[in-house]
Amino acid sequence: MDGAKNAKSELLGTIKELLSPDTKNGHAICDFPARKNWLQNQLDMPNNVFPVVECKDYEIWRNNVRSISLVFADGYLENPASLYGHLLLKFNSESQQSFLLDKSVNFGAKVPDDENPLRYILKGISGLYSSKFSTAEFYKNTRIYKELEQRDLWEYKLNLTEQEVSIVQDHTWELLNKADFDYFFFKENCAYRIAELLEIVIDKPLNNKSLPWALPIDIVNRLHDGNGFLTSLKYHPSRETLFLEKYKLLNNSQKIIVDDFIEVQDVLLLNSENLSNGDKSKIYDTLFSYYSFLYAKNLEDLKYKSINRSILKAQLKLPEIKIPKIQHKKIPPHIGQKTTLSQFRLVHNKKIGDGIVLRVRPVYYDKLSLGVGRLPYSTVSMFDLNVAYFNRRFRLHSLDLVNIETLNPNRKHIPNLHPYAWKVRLGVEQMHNNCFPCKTIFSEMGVGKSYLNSMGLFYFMIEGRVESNTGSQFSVTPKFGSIIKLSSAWVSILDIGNKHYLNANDKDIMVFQWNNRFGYSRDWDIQFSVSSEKAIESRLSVGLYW
Amino acid sequence: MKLFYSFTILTILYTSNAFAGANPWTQCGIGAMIFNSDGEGSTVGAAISNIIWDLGTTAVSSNGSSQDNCSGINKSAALFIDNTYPQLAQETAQAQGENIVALLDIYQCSPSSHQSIIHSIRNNFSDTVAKSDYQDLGYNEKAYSYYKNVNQVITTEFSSQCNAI
Repeated sequence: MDGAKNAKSELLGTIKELLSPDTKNGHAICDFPARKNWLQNQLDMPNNVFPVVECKDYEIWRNNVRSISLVFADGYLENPASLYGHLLLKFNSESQQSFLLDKSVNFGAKVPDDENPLRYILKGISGLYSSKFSTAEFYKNTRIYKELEQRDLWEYKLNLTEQEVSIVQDHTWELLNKADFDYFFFKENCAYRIAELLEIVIDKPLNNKSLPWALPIDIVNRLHDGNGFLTSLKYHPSRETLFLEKYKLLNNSQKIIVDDFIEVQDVLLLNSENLSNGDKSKIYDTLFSYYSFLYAKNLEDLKYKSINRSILKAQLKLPEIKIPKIQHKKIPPHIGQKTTLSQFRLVHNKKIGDGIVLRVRPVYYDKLSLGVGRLPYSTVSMFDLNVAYFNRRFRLHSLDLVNIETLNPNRKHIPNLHPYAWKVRLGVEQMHNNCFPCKTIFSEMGVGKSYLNSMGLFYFMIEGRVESNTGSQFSVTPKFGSIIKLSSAWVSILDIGNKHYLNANDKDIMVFQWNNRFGYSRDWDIQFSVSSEKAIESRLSVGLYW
Repeated sequence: MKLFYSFTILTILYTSNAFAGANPWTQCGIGAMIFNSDGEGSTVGAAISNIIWDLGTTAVSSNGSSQDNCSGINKSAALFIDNTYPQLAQETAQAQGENIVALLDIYQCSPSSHQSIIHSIRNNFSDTVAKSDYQDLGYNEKAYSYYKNVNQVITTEFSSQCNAI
């Protein structure tokens, strides 16, 4: 049979297997219920032409599902597989059981346990992994995403009829653990496959086939921006988010006790007679969250075990007090700016003159972007292309192949699992502001620290850079910077540094950048910047996000 | 009087040996996802963060034998406790929470009985935590201890409100 290559052969083969009277060792009706139901409808086949088959595993799996949700997990900079976030499906039970027991369906590459991130990127980009759908109870995913990786989950319930839910379930069953796919990091990834699955019942294209990439948040946006495809949103905060929210709700004296306990772990602080039971309950609740997220990946840590026991003992001494639910205020990701940027920029350069720059950044966001649905104070960007027109000539101005940066701000009294700011950037760009044709291939890495307070974020970073023009040039640039949100519609970023070449005769160069974003829209913004690197350049930009 | 003492002894033996059966952590392969064989910490979250779950590790038959700790409700409960023990410990101490409610749903306990069951589990858990060796127990041991506590409470006090064991 050539069913793998011939559609007619496949159809005839499928019908033959579905009607086969041999039910001893499994049956196609149990493996392919979606095809069976679809063919039966299309060919108007009565039930009695099919053999009677008991499909126990299938019936158990699809039992009692009343609706389906699309779950978006926030992006995660510690793992290249998760830079752009993740999508999974949740099949919501009809019974009264907890949502944690609902089935969820995931799609991912089959990656060996000991794979390193670099090999993952190279093989993922070139399609060298196979991939598959899999299923597990939702609590297994909340453990990974919320408790271990500290990623928020956003559950968007789909507006589907009972029949549409059934169709998606049946088709998912056919895919589970049977079908193997090629995995391509940018295009044929979780977003692409989940969208493809939903397109069976959603009357709108969720994948943009003309684009060479598929982003999880784009699928969410297309559903949200459509006509009534979604009915509700449920937010599942990570343990870290919960800690930050609970800490904010404490009054000053409660905060002092939490801060003091974190510093000295003195059990007497927990049992002070000056505290009411209500105070104690809030303090312990906050401390539970703090230590849970701090030690999530190392539950056997002796220090954690001892502290955890102290808090448990103190809590168990209290009567059973109702802990009020927190009103979460985090803005959902579908409110954030859209992922692709097209920008038109007017430029005035003191040495080169006036010109324009056209920019296209396919994905994703930078430190100027609206801080909604994104890791704050960070940049995740690929293939950011700038083409300049000066002196009647078009030239490549810059191409950032990769630009990833996170400032990981340290905050007073708040623990920071990732205390260092870092960046990685790779591409081609104009060497300095004073030479339009002078381009260099570069790679840049930086490490530093940042601090967040009521005025804004302040950081220090040392950047190391290699440039390729006329041999390799190495430079080190220590720089200071700040990000200040003057209002919801105005963000201002200032960087000042001193570029020192290690192996060239160039003098040190003072580098200065002042970038501003105006506007609070998902679809557009205006940016104004001034930079100095051997020449002063001012830019005024209008950007459209789509 | 003899009958009374015999009945008492039998009751004590029964309740103390209600968990004489399999330990799901040692006998049913539970706990492998949390720790590697050296108990050094989670093997999850290395290169992979978007996890693929093998159907074989998650498939549970809801009609399995109630005496068999490696299938049915017992295995479902053990898996759940293994994945969520830190949250269960906190919520038991606080006498509320979505994880402990989910656990009681696994045992199919009526919602009206939840608070009473949680109260009983909490009392026993308080004794467990108070013991000086609690913090020296490994993760699997704590999880198994909690599992025994829950099973015992449901079996001896709430068997009519739950569809358990």
